Amino acid sequence: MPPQDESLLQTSGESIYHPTALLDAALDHAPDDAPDGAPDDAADGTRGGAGEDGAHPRPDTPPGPAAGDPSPGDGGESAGSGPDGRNPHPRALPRRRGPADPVRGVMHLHHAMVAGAADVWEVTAGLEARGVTDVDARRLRHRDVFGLAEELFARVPRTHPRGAAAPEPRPPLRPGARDLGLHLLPGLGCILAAALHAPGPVAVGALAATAWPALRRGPLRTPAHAPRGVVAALCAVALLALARCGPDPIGTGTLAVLALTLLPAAGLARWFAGSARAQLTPSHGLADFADAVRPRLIAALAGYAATLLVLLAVLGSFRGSAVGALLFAARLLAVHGAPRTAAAGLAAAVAAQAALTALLPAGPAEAVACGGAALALAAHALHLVPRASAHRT
Amino acid sequence: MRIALLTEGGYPYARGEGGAWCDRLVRGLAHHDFDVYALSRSPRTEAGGRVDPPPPVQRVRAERLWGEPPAPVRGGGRAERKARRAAFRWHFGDLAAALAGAPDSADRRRPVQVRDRADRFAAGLYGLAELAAEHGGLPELIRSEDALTALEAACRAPGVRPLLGDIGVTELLAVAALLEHQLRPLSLPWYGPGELGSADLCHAVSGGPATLPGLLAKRFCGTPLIVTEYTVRVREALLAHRAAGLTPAVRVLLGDYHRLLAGESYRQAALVTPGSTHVRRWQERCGAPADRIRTVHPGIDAGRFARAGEEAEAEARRPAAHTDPTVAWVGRADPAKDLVALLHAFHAIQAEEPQARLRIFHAPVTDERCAGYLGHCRSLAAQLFPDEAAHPHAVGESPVTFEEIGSPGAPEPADAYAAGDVVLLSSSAEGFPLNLVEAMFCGRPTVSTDVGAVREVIGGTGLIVPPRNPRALADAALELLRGPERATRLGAAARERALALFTVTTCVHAFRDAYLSVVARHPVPREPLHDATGAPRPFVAPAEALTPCR
Repeated sequence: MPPQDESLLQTSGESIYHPTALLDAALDHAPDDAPDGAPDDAADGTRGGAGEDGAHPRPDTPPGPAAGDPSPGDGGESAGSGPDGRNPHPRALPRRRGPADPVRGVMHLHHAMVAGAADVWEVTAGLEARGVTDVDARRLRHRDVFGLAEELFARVPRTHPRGAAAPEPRPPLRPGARDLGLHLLPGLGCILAAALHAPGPVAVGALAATAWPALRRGPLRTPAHAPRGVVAALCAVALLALARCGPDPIGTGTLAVLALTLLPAAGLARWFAGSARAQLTPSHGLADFADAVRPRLIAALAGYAATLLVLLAVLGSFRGSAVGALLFAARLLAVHGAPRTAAAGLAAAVAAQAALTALLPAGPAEAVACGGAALALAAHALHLVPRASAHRT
Repeated sequence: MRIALLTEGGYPYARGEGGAWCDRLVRGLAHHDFDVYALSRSPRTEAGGRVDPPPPVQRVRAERLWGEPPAPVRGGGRAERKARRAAFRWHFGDLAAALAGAPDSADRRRPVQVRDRADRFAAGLYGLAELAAEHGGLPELIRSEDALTALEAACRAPGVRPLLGDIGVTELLAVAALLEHQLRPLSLPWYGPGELGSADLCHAVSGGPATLPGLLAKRFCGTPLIVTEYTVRVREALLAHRAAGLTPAVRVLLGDYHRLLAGESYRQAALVTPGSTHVRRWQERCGAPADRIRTVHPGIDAGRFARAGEEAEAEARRPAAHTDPTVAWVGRADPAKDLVALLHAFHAIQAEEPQARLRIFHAPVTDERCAGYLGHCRSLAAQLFPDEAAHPHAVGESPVTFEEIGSPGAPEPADAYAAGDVVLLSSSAEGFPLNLVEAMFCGRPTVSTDVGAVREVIGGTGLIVPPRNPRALADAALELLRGPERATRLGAAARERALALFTVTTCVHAFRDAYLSVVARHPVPREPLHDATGAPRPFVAPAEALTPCR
């Protein structure tokens, strides 16, 4: 504080700037205030009879709340040169009848802010934002605002509402009519192809073309910039083409059933993603979260397999079930942050099936290659998908 | 000399703070070359567009600290990915442990030392920077499960604050996402010999994230760093986290990140220049070495107020008695300016001086909050001060007027200040009080509340009263209104003080000297005789670089 500041302030009268006024007002009511109040009084030159007060700390002032201001002075000068010369409050302001501890008032004033603060730094920042300065802190017997903040932080009990964290806004998960149509389109396309007895490559091509927009949006879409997306797509088409157009092909009807399961697959994926996200907040740790999500993942995989088998049972043949399960597992992995694994699994399945076709009949070859890959991917999924980082958005 | 200006959320974006200051600095030191490396803080910053940089600015590089992460790196074999992950786990583990304040695993019984924590933070930060420079793909890694596991392990380590001990999965995800934003400068291609490496000096014009490129430039290229701070970035970050409704555990981790980063930047900086004592206090608290701090007040363009100041001087020579003493307030209508206290103070003034007038000059209102506050103040003024007329046949008018700067009453801010016999500043919170400095340039006597850097700015050349004390404000103003001689003396002294301390020239000269001394003491280590193009480079190592003292 520059020295000229002091002199200026003092010539302009006590009432303008009097750093100890508030403190004195508070201390006057304390039963044993005299030793604490004395140094401030002695240091304050504007008050009459300062020397005497310093020697005998305010001997005439009766202790207790009755120490009201006796004479309503009307100005700094008249109070200073008054007959008794020890009028501490020249302008007859009503005395503050506060608690003896001056910090209590500040504590009450900023209670909510301090109680919700995470650490002392935050309390300091909050106090400064509310206009508390070092001067105020010095008035309360602290070196600076940091010191005051430390005391407040230590004295006010924390009230951190557990679980009251505002959840981040999530993109809406409600399916619209357009989503429904998009997911049904591949199935309808395949049924139409079956009705028209379209050749195999045409049916597979139609399926791939109609499934593409459905997989670009909705619960089965992969995050932007996911690596190996093209590889996975090519492998999936290759698998379907091998099944439909290879030796001993499946019928277009089976293909249509596979395409129709896109809708339940999307529904299951939506349910799984939603329930996993809902699990984020109540979970206490990453392991907790994974343990809670894993059963739901199993349920989703099993649910899809069951749907597929029931639909295929209507046709009377279970050919194609392995392909469907493999594609669903791979897609779940790609959606939840493991696109490399998904692409690798699909590629391995294509390679294995191409190799096994030479050795085995088409049906067992497909079952071994795709079924094995589906099991492997499901095992990976049980490890990779229940991770919290896979459910970020 | 080639100077890299590092900004965050400010220059060259039109909407950012500190733009005018940077512009004046660049124009004032036009003989140097400037490169601007800007980080944009939010979509709002970018929506405002950019200002056209003046000629000394050679190039502008910008990067976002928000939005979707950049596309992950493609390619890289399995072995490389594995090595990258291992390195990431190691360095990010260090960073997370430093953020959580976990004691070192070597001796868990020892309480965590501040110094250890800072060192650990630095080790993690630079390790991640090297990883990003070598392999890339850091954003992807910070969003991966490895980062979450490292954060969780650090928070659950024994000896960590209980608040962090029960951190939840949502909070871990939030911390990882926000850290990814904050650590994006690590992945930028700015640290080559053609970019920051070609600069002789990095000047971060705000604290916090803006210093991160400077720290890395120092680490990779040896470029010295100057950190200038006019608002405490750490404090801003803490308040912003609180306002954003983040949970306490997230706030602790991110607040500590900002604090440790600030501490590291102050320690590494060749020079730290706070704008006021308040900022300096925070910097020292964050670990800035006191011998490298030099306070440089922001420079304010005094030219706009020269005429008003000279008129005030002329007026002082032949004082005119006035019939209606006028009190002026100039500024942006904002709740922190506490106009309500001003109105109450004026109520008290008017009780003693019935002829007194209050003229409130507010900047053009841009946002809804200010407009609402101004409306509230207007209605309060209407309640407190009924219209008055000189005689029964005159039309009355209120003693309080609200005028916008730019309106006929005050076409320029200087006219607004000149309109008042006394200028009041009634803020309940304030950073560096620009309005007060402008009033000082105009040679007006002032009464201010004791907030922010007011005391430091006014020195002994104006009156100071406690904030939120209208009575004290009124008494001080009355004292000046009744004692015109003293008021004139104070106004003249204030003008002298402002012209000596707060002009643009003072500020620019301070930085010119700072640049020269820093470059002399900390020369960038380069090829001794020839630069990259083969041109001779004399005086590469100045003699000052070899002197033992500072």
